[in-house]
Amino acid sequence: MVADNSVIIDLKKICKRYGYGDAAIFALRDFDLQVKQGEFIMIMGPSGCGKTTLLNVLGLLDKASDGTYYLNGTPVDRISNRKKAKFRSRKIGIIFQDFNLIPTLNILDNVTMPLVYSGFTKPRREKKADEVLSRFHLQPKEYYMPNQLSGGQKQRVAIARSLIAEPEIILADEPTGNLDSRSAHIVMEGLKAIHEEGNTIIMVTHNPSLTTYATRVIHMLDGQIDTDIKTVADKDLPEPVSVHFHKHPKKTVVETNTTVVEEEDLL
Amino acid sequence: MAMLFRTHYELARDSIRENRTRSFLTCLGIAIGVASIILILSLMGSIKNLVSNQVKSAGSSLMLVRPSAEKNTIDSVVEQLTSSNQYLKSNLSLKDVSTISALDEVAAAAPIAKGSATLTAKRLNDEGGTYTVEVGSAPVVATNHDFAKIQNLSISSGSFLGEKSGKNTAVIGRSLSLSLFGTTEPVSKTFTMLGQRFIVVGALPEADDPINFNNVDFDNSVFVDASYLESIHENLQIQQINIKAKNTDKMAELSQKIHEEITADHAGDTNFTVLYGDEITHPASGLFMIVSGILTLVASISLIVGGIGIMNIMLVSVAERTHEIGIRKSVGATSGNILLQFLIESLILSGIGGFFGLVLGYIIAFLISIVTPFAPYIDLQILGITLGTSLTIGLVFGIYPALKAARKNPIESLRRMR
Repeated sequence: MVADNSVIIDLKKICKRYGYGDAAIFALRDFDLQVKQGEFIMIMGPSGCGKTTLLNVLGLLDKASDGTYYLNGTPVDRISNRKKAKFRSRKIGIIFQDFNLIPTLNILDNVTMPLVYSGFTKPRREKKADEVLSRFHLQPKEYYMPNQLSGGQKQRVAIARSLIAEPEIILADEPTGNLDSRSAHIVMEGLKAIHEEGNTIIMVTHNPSLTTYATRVIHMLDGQIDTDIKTVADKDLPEPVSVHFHKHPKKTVVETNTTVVEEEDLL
Repeated sequence: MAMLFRTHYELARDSIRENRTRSFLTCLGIAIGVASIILILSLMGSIKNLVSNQVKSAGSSLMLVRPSAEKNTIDSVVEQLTSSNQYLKSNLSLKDVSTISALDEVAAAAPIAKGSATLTAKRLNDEGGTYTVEVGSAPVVATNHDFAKIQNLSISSGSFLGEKSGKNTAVIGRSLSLSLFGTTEPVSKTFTMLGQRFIVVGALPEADDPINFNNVDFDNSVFVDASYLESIHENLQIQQINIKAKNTDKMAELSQKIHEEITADHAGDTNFTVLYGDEITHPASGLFMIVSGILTLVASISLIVGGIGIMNIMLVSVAERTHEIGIRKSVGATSGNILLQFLIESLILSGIGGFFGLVLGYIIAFLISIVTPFAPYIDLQILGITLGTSLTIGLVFGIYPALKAARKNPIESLRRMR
């Protein structure tokens, strides 16, 4: 069991194996990770090192072959698929590199989709969608179809969808990978604002310049952690808040001029 | 849950709208199957209704005695169809009619003995001379004066066979009258049958019930006195005795009493049946029930083909929307949600097909009623059977694609190209 209440994700000896016997390939090998409430973790590493697999395991889309995954202290390895789906709709928001919006639904329907499966009525869904879309300046476009938006706008819609159910954890798989630098900047500023409200973000990226937004940077190699670097101390993490979508984001204590220091140095 | 149903309904509706042509063709498959079933059930219902209406118009006091025990099975129907001399089995006689008439509870009893004979009549030509008209194989119904009373038979001119009128009197149907005498007013005209001269005392109006529980073609038949016909023609076979009871509350007791009396007269032989109420329509519609059952089975094949169409389209839909399934699962949809979404879509397709099939079937039944006496007959039972069947088809043929969608792995689904 996890002792520290602020730890929301605890991975113990997680392995993800594809194939059997001599043909077995490990995407994750004895992977240990603790994530605390309010952290903004960037996961980097070469292609095929297991970043996306890690995100899929964390998002309960994939199942680890071995090891234990505690989410809010609950071991999720043996819970039913139905319960995993509930976790996904209420506790986890996922942002994909290629946006993954349903092309036949308008922006409003795409954004409200997680709430459909959480039992929200249509008026409540639309009210929440209005709030979250106006935060990303997309409310005037809520009846547009995805193909009528730019890449940056699509990704902001995807972020809005991941936030609408007010999840505790946001997983982002290269959210800026398909965007130009200006759109990438806007998206990252959006994620930064979300983090400043106390949300936990785990983001996979190939872009080293984005690590300035992170409180912790993990480099992966061959399914294992190569380096794990904290850029701010635990005490400086933003306080968790219960209500999201403030019109004026809360001031936080995150230092803007962060310096990269080794984890051992902070202890 | 209701809200989720509504959302799934909206999603299914949008999906059907997006693929109008293929949805229309899928619905058409179901509609054709449902229309054929509706048509068959409507025609059979119409025939059954015709007979039961006649029984109703004859009143609830009607009771029939028929030779040989009615089995109303496929074997008995096939036997009736293939046996040319089925009526030779009749062991009912005029003595039985007298026995029944003598009972206190019986108001009237009339035999029905059917046969055929050649009728000849003389007609005047334009020059004042005469010529002979011959009608071959005219249906002859031997009965008595009670027949019209039991049947509530209307007479267009003259009167029915009277109790005290001459034995060689006859009543003829409208079409036969036209063939034989060239007029619909044949009263007091004469014709020859079986070497005897008969005088027409009454004529029947045009009949609109070619199918009836007496199995008599009223338009083309000649009605003569049974006891007189028996005296000139041996082997008179009585196929049915129509009885009108005095008290409708004691039909069961009367039926039992008639059964006992005739059994006693026949020295213990019980090769006959006494029928009343709904039982009367059962043997008459027995053949139709079997035929309709077989036809419905044949029509069901087209419904199954329609169902396979639904399955095919739903499988295509699942394949096309694999990426969407992945997205939905990643934002929190359970396998049950996905199953429900696709199942509702196939139910909507089959439901729409069923509805249009119902309308189409009714329109065809109506068109058929223009040229036949079978009015479209659709009751709640037929509606229920048809819509229930089409929804069941949607459920049965939609469950496999829906399960396939529900079981999709979210990661693999997300990787699939749109």
